[in-house]
Amino acid sequence: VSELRFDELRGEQVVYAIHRQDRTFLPDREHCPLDPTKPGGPETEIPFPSFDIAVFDNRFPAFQAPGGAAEVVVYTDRHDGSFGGLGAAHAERLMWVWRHRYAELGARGDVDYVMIFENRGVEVGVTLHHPHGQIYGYPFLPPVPAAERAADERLGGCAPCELLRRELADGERLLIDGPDVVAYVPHAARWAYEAHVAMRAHRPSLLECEPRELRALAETLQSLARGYDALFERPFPYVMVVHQAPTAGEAGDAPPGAAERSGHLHVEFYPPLRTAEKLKFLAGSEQGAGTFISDTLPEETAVALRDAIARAS
Amino acid sequence: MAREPAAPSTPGGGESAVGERFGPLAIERVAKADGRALILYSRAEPPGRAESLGRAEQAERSEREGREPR
Repeated sequence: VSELRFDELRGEQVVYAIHRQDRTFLPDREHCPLDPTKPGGPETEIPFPSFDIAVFDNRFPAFQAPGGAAEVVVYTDRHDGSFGGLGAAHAERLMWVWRHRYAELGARGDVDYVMIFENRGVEVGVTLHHPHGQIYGYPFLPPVPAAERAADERLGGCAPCELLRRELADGERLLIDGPDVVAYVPHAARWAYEAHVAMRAHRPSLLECEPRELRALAETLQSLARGYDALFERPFPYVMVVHQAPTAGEAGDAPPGAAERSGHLHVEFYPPLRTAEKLKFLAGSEQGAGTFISDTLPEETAVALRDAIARAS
Repeated sequence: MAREPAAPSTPGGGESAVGERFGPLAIERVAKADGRALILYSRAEPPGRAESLGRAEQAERSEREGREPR
């Protein structure tokens, strides 16, 4: 069971999940717990010989009921591969799986914020190579969505809507300009190749999306992921996070759709590479002051990313 | 797709719920032996859906059906 402690100086929660210290760490190919269970072989997390997409409670959870949730989303039963390499229809189904988990977890009284994410690459701490993502159901509103809510107030409306309007008007950092989904390197990107993928229409969460928008979201995310791999011609590490509306209302718990719906569905990628071989580390300024110092300009990395996406398509 | 457990000891006498749907997904819930939840998602195929499959989905289906069983 995890313990929450409030850091008064920073005004944020810290989660102690000491049981995670012993979690499975980079097992060899033959002992992947996310593979399907081979007939006669050792049992994995999915006791079936094949599957399409699987979701299960994390064996080493940071959160668990009645204090939140931690789930693993296994994209495919194929050990080798990546999100970007999934078939188009498979990736589209993954969007529906995300939507289903958001709806179910968000309806729980002990989940205030549903965060769907993927850590890709040992550079960002991946402990299992099988293509998968995770979902945390936070029993509180974490700092980042709280900051996004504050941005709504500061900008007098939906902040991602306003920022998308500015990016479209500027155009210099756009990566993919689709009718339903837009990808761009943000004006104030913190990471060299950071990119945001935003719904063009105001959609607080996956629940409000039309089926064609989910399809477009999958296509855009995959195009970007493949572009990342083409950028330095190597598997590109990243943290991919789906940002959606919090699932708790101001006055208490409420199901998605019934509470205040601040938020705008968008997906942010935080890649740690600043060159093909060099990593960006969070050091003095980033950790001590909370201020990122970047070695690159978003306008320049956007050009490189656009070219890479074109090469990969 | 086969849904027979590969290991007879699992899911440990837990319940398996089949038949739930969500959009284009078929959902099967399985209680793992240690009590944790496992949800299996797959493509739901209502009558007539085959005709509406897109090219990508048809290619993916062919690819999957053509692979060797594990």
